[in-house]
Amino acid sequence: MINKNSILKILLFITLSVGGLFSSATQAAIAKKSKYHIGVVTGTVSQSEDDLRGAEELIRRYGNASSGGMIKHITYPDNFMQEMETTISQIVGLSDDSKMKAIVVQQGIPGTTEAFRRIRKKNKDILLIVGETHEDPLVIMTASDLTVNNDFVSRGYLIIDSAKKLGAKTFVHISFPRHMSYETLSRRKAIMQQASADLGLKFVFETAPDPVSDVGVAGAQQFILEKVPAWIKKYGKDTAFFCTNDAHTEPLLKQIITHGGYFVEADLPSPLMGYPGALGIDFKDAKGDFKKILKTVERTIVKRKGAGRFGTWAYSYGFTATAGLGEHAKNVIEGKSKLKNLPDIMKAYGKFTPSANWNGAFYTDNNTGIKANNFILIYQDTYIFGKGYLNTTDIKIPSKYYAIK
Amino acid sequence: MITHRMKLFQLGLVLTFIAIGSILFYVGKGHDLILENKLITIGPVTYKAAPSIKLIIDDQKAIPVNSGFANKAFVVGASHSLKAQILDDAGAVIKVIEKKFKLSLHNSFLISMPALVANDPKWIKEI
Amino acid sequence: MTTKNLQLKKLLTLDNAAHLLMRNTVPILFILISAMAIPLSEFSFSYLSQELMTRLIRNSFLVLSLLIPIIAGMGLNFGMVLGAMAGQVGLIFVTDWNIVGMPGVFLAMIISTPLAILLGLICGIILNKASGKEMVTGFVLAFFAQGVYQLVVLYGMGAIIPIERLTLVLSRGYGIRNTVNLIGIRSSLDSAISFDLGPVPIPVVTLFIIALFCLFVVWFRKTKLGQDMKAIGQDMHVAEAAGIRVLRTRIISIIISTVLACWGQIIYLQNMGTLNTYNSHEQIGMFSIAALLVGGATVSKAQISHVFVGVILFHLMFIVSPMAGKNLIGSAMLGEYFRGFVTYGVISAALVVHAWTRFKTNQRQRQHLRGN
Repeated sequence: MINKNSILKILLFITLSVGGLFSSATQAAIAKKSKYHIGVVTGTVSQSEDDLRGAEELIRRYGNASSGGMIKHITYPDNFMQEMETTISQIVGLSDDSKMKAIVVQQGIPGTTEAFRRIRKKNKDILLIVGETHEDPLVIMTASDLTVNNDFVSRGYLIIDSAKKLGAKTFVHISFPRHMSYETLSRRKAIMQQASADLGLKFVFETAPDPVSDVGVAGAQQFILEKVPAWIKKYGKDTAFFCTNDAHTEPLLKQIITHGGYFVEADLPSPLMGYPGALGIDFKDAKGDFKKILKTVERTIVKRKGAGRFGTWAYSYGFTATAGLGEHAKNVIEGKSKLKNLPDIMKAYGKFTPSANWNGAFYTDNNTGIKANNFILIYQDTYIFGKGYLNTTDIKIPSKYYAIK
Repeated sequence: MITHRMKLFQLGLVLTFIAIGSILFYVGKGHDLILENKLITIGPVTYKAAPSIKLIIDDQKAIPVNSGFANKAFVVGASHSLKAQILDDAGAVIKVIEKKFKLSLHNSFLISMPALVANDPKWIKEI
Repeated sequence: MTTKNLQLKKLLTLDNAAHLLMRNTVPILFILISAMAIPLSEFSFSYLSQELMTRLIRNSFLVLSLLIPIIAGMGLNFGMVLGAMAGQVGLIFVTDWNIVGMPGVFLAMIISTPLAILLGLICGIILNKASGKEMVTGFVLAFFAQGVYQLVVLYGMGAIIPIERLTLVLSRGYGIRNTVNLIGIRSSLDSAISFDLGPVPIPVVTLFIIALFCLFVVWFRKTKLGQDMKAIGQDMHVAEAAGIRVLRTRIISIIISTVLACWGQIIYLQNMGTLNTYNSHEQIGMFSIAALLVGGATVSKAQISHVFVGVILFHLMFIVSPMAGKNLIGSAMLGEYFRGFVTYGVISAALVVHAWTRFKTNQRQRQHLRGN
C-alpha cells in the first residue's frame, strides 16, 4: 500500500543506492601522483591556529593530496569535547586511502585512541602519531606508535624558576575542573606548588570558567578581563600569572600589560598565542616568518613598557609540533629516521626552529612507575621579550620533582 | 495499591538481579598474571631463577619467560590450566609441567617459575 | 476506480503534496543534501556502509529511549543525560573491578540501574512541577546534574568512594582521569557473534538487543500503562478525570526513559571503547533528539520508523559533510565549518518547521470543522 511513509522510505533507498554508486565511481576517477600520503589532523583557526598553520606549512612543502601531492589535511570539530563520534569518523576516514602511510594528529583530542584502534584493526602498517594528547598518557600509549607532548613535568619546575628570575614573588595558577582532571595538567600544578614552596614564592590557585561550559569562550574571557585587575591589586604587581587554557591567555595578557604583573609563558607557547589580540599587533609583513613575528611582538611590548615581564617560546609550539611530526613521519617512511629515536625527532623539529634549543625525555607515569617507550616529553628554551633566552634547556631539574604526585 | 504479592515479587526480582550480578562478577573477573623467572624467597626456602620457560595458559599463545626476566598475561574467570615447557639452552623442550589452578577474586597474581618448577605449594600468590 | 487508484489520486492533489512536503521537510532536506554530499566526499561505498552500520548499532538504543516520554506527552526528554551519567558510573566501577567482556557490560547495566531509577525519579518529580515547560527544564536539569556528577566523580571517587586501580585515578590521589580505557569491554557486544555481509560486519548480539527493545516498545503501547500514558499525552485533564494517576504515570515514563538511556549509553560506550569521563554524556542528549527529529518525529508524535530513518539520515550527514565541504571548498577548516553549518542549520530548520507545521495543522483542522 503506497502511502506517505513508504514514499519517504523509497526515496531514502534510491538516494542511498545512487549515492553509493556515485561514490565508488568518483574514487576511481581521482588521479594520484604522489607515491604515498601523510594524513594530518589539526584543529581549526578558532580552536588552535598554530597547529593548522603547521599543517599548511607541510602542504606548502610537500603538496596537497587532492592535487597530486603528499599531505591530506583535515580538521577535527571545534567543539570536539561534544563530538567524539565525528572526531573518530574523521580520523578513520583518512585510512580509507590505500596510499596512506602515516597519520599525524595534533592535538590528540579525545577519540584519538579509539580512532587509532579502528585503523589498526584494518591496517597494520600506517604510522599513527600523536602530538599533545588530551587523553590520559597510559591510554593513548596503547594505541599510537609515537606520542610527543610538551614536557609538563620539567616545565612545572622551570616556569616557577623563570618567574623567580624575572622578579616575581607570587605565582597565580588559573584553571578549572575539567583541566584538573587531565593527569598531565594536574601533575604539573602539583610540581609548581612544590617548586614555589622550595623557591620561596607564594602559590595561589584561582578558578575561571571553562570555555566549553555553558558560558562559552566569550563568558570565560570576560571573567578573566574583569578578575585580573582585582587579583593584581590583591597579590601585588610582583605576581606571575599562568593559565591552562588558550582562550584565557589573550584577556590575561591584555590586563597584565596594563596593570602590571608577569607572564612567563603560555600552556602551549607561541609568539602568536594571545599576544596579537591582546596588543593589537598587525603582522601583515611578517607572515610565516617567526623571527620577524618575534621581533614585531617584542617591539610592541618594549614600547608598552613590558620589557622583562613577558615570555614565550621563540617558535610556536603548535606550529612546530605539526610540521615537525609530519617531517619526522616522512623521514621514517623514507628510511632516514627511526620512529622512536629522540635525536631524530628533535632533528625534525629543529628544521622549523633554527637556533632555538630543545630538550626532552621519555615519559614515566607517576602512579604505576611504568616507563613508556613510545611517549616523549619535549620542551623549548623560554625567550623573554626585552631580555632574551633564559637557557632553561641547560638547567638540571632536581630529581625529586619527578616523583611528585 | 501495592499488594503483598507484588511486594514479594519485587523483592524476588531484586534478589535475582543481585544473584545474576554476583555470577557475572565471578565469571567476568579479569586477572593480571605477572610471570616471573627470577630469584624468589618463599618462607625459609630460596629458589634460584629457573631455566627459560615457555608458558601456555589455557589455550592462549605461548608466552616466553626467560631466565631472569618477567612477563605478563591476562585471564578471565576463576578456573584455569597451565602448561610450562622448560627449555634447554638450544630451545628444545626438556620437561613439561601441567597444573590446574583456581583464582580468588583478587586482581593480580604472581606466578614464580622457580617455585613452579620446584613444585612449591606457594608457586602462585596474590599481589 | 480501485481503492489504490483513488489513494494515489488523493495523494497527488497539490494540497496533499504540499502537506506531505511540509510534514516531512526535514527528512527530505537531509536526503537532498546527503544525495549531493555523498559523491563529493569521495568515500568508498564499503567505508560508508561500515560507518553507517557502526553508527546505527551505537545510537539506535539511545534514540529509542526517547519514544516513551513522547508517548506520555513529556516532550523530548533532555533528562536522558542523567541516565547516561548513571551508565558511566556503572562502567567506571566495572573497569575498576576489572570485569571484562559481556559479563562486564551486563554487570555495568545491573549496577547502574538503581542509580538510573533514582535519577529518573528525581527528574520526573521536578518535571512534574514544571508542567508545560518540560523540555527546557530537562535541558537545565542536565547542566545541574553535570555539576553533581563532577562532584562525585572528580572529587568523591578515590577519596570517599574506594577505587582500586591506579590507572583510573589521578596521581593526586582522588578523582577519575579524564579518559578511561574501556579496553576490557570494548566491542564485547558487537564482536560476540558477528558475520560479514560483504564489507560490512553485522554485530548480531547488539542488533538482537535493539530488536528486543523495539518489540518492547510495541508491546508496551498495548499495556494499560502504555495506554494511560497515551491518554495523558493527548490531554492531561481528561486523563485525570478518567481516573488515571497522571503525576505518578508521568514519573514512571521518565524513570523508564532514564533507565533505557543508561543502558543505551553503556551500549554506546562499549562500541566507542573509550570513556570521556566528563563529556561523553553531553553529546548524547542533543544528538539523539536531533536524530529523532530528523527522522520525521515531532514533539508529540514519534514512531519506531522515525528512530531508524533519523539515525541513518542524521549520521550519514555527519559522516559525509566534512569531507564533502572540504572537497567542495578546498580548505579542511572551511569544510568543518560547512559541516557545522549544514547539520545544525537543518536541526534548527526542523524545530522551526515543526512549530510552523503545528500551526498549519491546527489551521487545517479548524477549516475542516468549518466544513471546507
